[in-house]
Amino acid sequence: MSNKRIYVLLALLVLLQLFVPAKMIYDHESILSKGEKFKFKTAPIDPSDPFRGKYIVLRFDASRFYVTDKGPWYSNQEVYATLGNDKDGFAKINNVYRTKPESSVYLKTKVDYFQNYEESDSAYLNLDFSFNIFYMEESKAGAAETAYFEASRDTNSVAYANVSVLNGEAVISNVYIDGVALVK
Amino acid sequence: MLKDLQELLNANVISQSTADQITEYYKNKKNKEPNRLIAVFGIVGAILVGMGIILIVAHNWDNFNRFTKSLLAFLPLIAGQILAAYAMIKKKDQKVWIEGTSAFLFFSVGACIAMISQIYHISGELPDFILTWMLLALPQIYIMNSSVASLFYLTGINYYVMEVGYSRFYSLESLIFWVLLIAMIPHYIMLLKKKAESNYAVLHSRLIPISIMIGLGSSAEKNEELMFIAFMSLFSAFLLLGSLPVFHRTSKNTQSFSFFGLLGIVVTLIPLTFDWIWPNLFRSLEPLSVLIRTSELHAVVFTTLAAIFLLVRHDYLPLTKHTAVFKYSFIVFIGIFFLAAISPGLSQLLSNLMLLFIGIRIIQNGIAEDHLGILNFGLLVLATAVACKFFDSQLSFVIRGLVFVALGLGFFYTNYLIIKKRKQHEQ
Repeated sequence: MSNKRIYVLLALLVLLQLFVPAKMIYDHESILSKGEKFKFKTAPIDPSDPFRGKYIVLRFDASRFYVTDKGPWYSNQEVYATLGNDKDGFAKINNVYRTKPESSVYLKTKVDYFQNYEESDSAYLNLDFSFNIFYMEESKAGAAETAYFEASRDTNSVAYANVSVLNGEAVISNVYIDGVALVK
Repeated sequence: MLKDLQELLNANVISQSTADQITEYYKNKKNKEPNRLIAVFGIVGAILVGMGIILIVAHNWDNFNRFTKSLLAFLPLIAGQILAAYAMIKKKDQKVWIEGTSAFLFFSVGACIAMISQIYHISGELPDFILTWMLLALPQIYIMNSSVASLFYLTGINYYVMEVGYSRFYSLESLIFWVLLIAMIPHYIMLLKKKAESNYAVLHSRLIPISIMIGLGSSAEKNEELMFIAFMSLFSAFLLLGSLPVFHRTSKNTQSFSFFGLLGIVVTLIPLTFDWIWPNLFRSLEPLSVLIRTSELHAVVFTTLAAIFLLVRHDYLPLTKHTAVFKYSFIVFIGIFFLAAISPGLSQLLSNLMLLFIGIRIIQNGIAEDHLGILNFGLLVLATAVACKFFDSQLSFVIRGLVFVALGLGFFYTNYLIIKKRKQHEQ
């Protein structure tokens, strides 16, 4: 390869390496600014990732949805969940579809598992929300976990996540435990 | 060496001009050495700094707002790119610059996307993150002609396949691994052709067969018994591949394929010498109509075709005539495997005999080559074959004990024979 061609390729590589992260930022910023805002009631726990550091994993109350349509549903199946709010102002799933819904606000998500109780005639889907991770400064992740455990012992305590939803994609912006934001 | 030169000169073994040439040669060689040391320090330094940045990023800095953090995420990346470009333009001939900056760039790409993942709490699981990282780093291997990037890339895709292939069900991701692996092979071929003596060629020669084994293992799911065939075919293919002339041109260090092939055949056979696998072998397999769509059967077909292709296509260059027959291992083994449908006991017996036969052939090879390492490897195979059989059987402890004593004496005796033979040669 001639020098010139290598420099052109190098320049393309540099642009590609800059473009991909920049695109990640752009996509998520547009969801945060244009997306519809929801509060998802949650229960966090605290693991860590070797490259990206400490985070808390969020378990959402709304991720379970009772269905009358008994399937077939299977793990990792791609589904669309339309969203609304309950009487307390927390997000809830209105319905789950196998194909993209026409209107309203929806989440593109996956089935975690499907539980069917033959005898009681009830069945529910557990959905795998993509926004179930909240990264924190390592010194604070432990404290956040403790705060959560204390909060979970107190039944009146409420933890929820602020989530913006746009065109099926969601970005989490903050987590609140009893009204206190984890990130200022 | 230089001290002996005077003596050789005095004894008229070499002429003055030869002595000067030798002195000159060693002087030059010495001059090159520090270069190598600097290369190692340069690259290791760049790696440490790169990894350090990843750890600092992993702290998750809360004090900055989103915009500042996003800008900061690009800092190491841009620094890495500037350094790499500088090395490519100004220090083109200095390998240490190219490899050092390439290592740094590799990590800064990872650091940048890791930081953005944090800022926006992108849960995208670990494999997705690694995949993005590796895809962004892959062109570096070729554009910068960087073996360090290639080695890290190999490590990265292995991490990837272990995450997707072993902890979840077989899926598209396991296939992506093979595409990722094939994508770096041209670099390896270039290394073998142009720099077969370099440490990079040696490291690649070890890491690539290991990667293939890890990748193949990820195909195992419900019908894992079939993986015995897949691995046996793979290891036969390794043996055949390792005998290609390209691996024999230089040092023995690049012959890892032969090494892993032989070791793999032995290790695959060991569990099959016991009787608990064979009787249930076919019972636990799914029916053929289902099997056709399973990853295990695909792995079997692919590895076996590869082994047949290599067997037919090129002239086999065995290390010695004693081990030449090992190239047929997979064919013999497939016969033994399917025989179990009729007689599991016979399959078990034949597996034992196959392992014994391999052990004996390796021992013969060791004696013929006057190589203690090969001899003892053969003895170890033989001892393993016998030991497995005896843990498994109902024979009395006295007989088992005697056999072990005999094996131990065999070790001493054969080693003694070789050492004696060597001493005779020396005299």
